[in-house]
Amino acid sequence: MLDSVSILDGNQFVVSNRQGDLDAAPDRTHGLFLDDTRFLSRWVLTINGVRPTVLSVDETAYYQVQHFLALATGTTYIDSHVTVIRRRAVGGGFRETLSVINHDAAAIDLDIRIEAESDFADLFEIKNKSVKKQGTISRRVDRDGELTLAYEREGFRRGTCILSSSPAEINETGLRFRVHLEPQALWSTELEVRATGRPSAISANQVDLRPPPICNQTPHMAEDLKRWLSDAPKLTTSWPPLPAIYGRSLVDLAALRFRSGVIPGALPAAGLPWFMAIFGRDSLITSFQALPFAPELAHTTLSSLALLQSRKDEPFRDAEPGKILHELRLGELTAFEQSPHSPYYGSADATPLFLILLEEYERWTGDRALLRSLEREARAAVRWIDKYGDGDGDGYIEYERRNPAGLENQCWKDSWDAIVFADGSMSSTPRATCELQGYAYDAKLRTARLARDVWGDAAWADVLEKQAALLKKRFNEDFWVAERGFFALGLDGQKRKIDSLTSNIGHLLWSGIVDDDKAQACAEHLMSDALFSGWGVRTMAASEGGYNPIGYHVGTVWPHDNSIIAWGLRRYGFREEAARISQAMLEAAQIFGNHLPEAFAGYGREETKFPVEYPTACMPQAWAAGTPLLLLRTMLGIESDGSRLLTDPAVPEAIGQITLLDIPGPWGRGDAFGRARTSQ
Amino acid sequence: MLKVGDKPVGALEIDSDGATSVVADTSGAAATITVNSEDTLTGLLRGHLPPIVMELRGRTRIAGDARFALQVLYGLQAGSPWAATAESRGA
Repeated sequence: MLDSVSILDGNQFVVSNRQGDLDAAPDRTHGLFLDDTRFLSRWVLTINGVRPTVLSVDETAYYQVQHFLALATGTTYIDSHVTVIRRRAVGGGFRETLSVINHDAAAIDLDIRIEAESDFADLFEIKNKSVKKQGTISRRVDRDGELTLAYEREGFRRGTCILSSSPAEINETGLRFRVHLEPQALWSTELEVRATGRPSAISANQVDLRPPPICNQTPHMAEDLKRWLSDAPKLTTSWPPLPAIYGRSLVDLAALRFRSGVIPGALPAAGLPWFMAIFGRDSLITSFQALPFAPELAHTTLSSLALLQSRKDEPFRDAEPGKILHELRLGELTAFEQSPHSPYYGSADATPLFLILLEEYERWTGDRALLRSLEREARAAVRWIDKYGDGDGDGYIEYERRNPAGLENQCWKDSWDAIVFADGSMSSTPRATCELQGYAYDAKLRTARLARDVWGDAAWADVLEKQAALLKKRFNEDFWVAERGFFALGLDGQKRKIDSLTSNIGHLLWSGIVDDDKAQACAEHLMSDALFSGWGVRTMAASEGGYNPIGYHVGTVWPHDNSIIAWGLRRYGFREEAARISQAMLEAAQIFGNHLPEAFAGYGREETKFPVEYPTACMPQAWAAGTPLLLLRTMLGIESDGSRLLTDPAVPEAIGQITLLDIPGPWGRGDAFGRARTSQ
Repeated sequence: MLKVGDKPVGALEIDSDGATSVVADTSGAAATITVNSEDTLTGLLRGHLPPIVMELRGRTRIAGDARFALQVLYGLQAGSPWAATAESRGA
């Protein structure tokens, strides 16, 4: 992805090379994508049989890009008299303005061709590098000069329509323009590529694959982005890089807004390119991070996940009543149940996180109408925690997939090798990872508050609080690795403590499940050389047998993980430690071009002057984009008590001072100010 | 309202207590669920067919209040008055 250019808007995106060509191959994830389907796999421009040379790429906004090209005559020295500019904006497909300018003193004749093709691959087929279509792909040129690429498999129909504003010779392989250009003359055409998402197949004979024309959506999207940014709190600071990082976070979150068309509003899609879909965990955590900045994300996330909450016990989808979804996909493999993502429920943490966000949302917005409408779903979620989440009745949430093709690990560290012992050996299932118990504890306390304050059920609140207290007591006994002074990563299927030192202990601080007398040890471990790389807390300590600085969940640094850890440290009074993590993360963001990737390598800061990229990290990625927001909240210590904005700043010395104006909440708009207490 | 192809077949009436029945009067329906066949219709009413899969495969089409329609379809999955009948018939 390093040499690719992406533009996106929610679940639709275009990935090209720097020339603007879409030239998909197993090692190149190029294409026009919508609803987990690739609608265009080839879109290659040649002029007189030559691909123009790229001069520069101007990524003007997340939804549009300009490629400046030249028709080169040499291989080392480019002596060109022809400029080619491709301006492209995504939206319902994409619209491209192709311009060619002749700078020569003589007229020229150009043969401009665009090859177009679609494989209609499901995103999972692309990810697995195995595109095997069971349906039929067809190509058709209409009388009105429109090229339609279509795919059909039973009732699953998708289509791509291509048309040009300038006269073109169109055949089934693409478009051709024969252009005569006088000296200093400009030729230009508007190209529209329209993707049809989910056309109805109810009356097959009447199906029209042609979607409505794409209006020029750029002004609308520009206006929408402007409104999004103007609604967010205003930041001023004495640390120059911070405004750009903050602004980039807001823009990345805007880019990732996913609109389902069923629930009004938008929720965060997880990340480009593989996770442009609704993910329970990712959407919930991102919405949590963004609450003081963009509370509308949480509203849509909660409403959408409640609507799709499982009502059934279905092993194929790893679903049980009350469970919040892991992932919803809309591609062909989902449609024919070759994958279980309709939705897939293989996530043990999304359900308690749903309850956590529900309470946090109410406290930050005062929106009790939504809470009242979701009482039934909240009760079902609590029942899931007690009944299905704790399958063996030991009082802890544990997971084990029932679909053999499902996720082996159903916590946030969901790669297959993430949950291992200190010696690197594999743990058995079912696994009860520690942070799940922390989330369950927090969820029950928060739900108790809602039961008492919003739903008027004090008796239930009492029960929930007693359950939470018992869980905390037992957890601090059963998960504590006394000889090393930290909490086990989890309990395995034989109830053995999975004794690796990991970042998960930071999530325990966030949840509040840690006894006060154990918090100091957790904080010291988190800031130790084994866990803290200098750029952030590693997912697994360098001292452990399973550690790998470039292992997805066993040594890399994840920004969202660090934002939660920093907040957890603040919660237990470790202000300086939280500030240190915040500063390191923001410094990393500055180096990564003012935004954070999904993850980066766990090499120590003394080894590298810059954080090392993790090769397949998503960027933008929702909870990485949300990280600077939660770090700002941490540094300023901003909190809502339901009616007032509270602040308790602990700003790093290097950052100096931060002012955040117009923070939304039940109070209307409020301000927060914090400055570092310089050491003498 | 429920339609098979272009033909209205009735409306699902849902009481405030969640009781569900099919009635002939389709006026005032908040949403219309159009299905491609009677099999799809009975499968949905019995809570046996996954609503999103049906929609992706073009076997259902929802118009009107899509959120409400999905709530109804998922509600039928939780407990359909016709599910037991289906099971006793081996459906």
